[in-house]
Amino acid sequence: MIELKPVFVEKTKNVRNFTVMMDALALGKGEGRMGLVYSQAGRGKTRTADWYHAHNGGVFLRMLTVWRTSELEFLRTLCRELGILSPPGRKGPAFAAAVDVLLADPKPIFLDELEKLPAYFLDVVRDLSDLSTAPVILIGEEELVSYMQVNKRVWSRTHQAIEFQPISKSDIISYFFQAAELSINGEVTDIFYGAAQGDFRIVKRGLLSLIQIANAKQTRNISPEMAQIAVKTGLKGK
Amino acid sequence: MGRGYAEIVRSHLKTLGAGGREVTNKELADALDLVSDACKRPMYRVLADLRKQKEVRRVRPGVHVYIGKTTGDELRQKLWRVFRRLRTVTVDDLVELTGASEAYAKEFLRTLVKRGVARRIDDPRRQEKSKYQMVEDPVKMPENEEKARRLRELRRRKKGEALEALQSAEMAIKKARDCLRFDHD
Repeated sequence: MIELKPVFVEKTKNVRNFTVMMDALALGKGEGRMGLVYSQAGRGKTRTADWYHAHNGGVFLRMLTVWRTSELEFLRTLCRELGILSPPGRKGPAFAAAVDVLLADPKPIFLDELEKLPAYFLDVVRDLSDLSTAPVILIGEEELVSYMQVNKRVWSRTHQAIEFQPISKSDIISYFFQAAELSINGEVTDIFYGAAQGDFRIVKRGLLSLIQIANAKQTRNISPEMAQIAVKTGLKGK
Repeated sequence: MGRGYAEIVRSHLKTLGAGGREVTNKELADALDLVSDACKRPMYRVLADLRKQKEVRRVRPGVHVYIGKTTGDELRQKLWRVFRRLRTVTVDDLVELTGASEAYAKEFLRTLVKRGVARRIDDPRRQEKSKYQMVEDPVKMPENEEKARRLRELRRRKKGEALEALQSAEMAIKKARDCLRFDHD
């Protein structure tokens, strides 16, 4: 009986690049600096940042569309994430309170989907990084790059930028082995690689279907035919 | 295999796998000076135990990466960070992102439910795994009161036993002194 184990595959190029970026940002201690992580959806940006945040700490905020009209809600949420139990009710004091906490402990701040909010939020984030010296890592889709490039002050502080690459064949092989202890041959890998088109979520769904098929057949030997069926039922969501 | 042998294997893994380097079973066996398959068997058993404890991770057959020991406090902090960040999680989310065991993640979530920080959501119409949703954000991680209470109780019991032992020792000494005094008289 094959089971799908919840695993995070650390040995991928994207995760390695992310870790290297975080190490490089840590070197610039004492000055405001920003990192940028971007790509199409489904490449694992947010999951990787979640994993890094779980193991290394910091503050992780998913930017909400309801904050569009006010920086105050953003600042108050940031304060709470920083451990301030009763955040100030006005922008200035809330910003100062966040800076005070970060100055004492300049932990990384991960902001996901900032591009949903008006461009002036970038200046708020830049001020926060400059005054607190905490690294700010912005995570988003491709439009985040142009959103940042327009603001020269922000772009010049962006020390690191990485684009998450599509899932590779070796990533698929590692994931199948680590999550289900399944060793797959080149032909099976090609089938999944072709159908996924770089999207990790699709590979995960495909593996689930493949496990169901393999368990029904009571085998651990994955044939290309089984992979094709898994692709049809799982990968395309039919 | 005793604890001593596991410590030896662990120390070699730490040295060979410093900086996240991959360690092959052959390298480890060479470092431990093991040649035959029979000699290597205890090493494989220790590796399997370390894998279960998430201290090492198998990257592919015969190759491991040493991750290191995680204390309970650190692990709870990791679980708390994930739960606080995602607000609604499954046990699988916690296991995937923190590397905790399924049993530990379940226990952690049960404690949060007991403390009124989380609630369990089950939809009987769907065959999905249970989700746990944050209902109140206390900002700081709630302490595991049950465990703290058990430890307090254990300390109190041990203190009681120690006092009892002291009393009986004092009585025995007094009795011995009385006997000696009686002899002198």
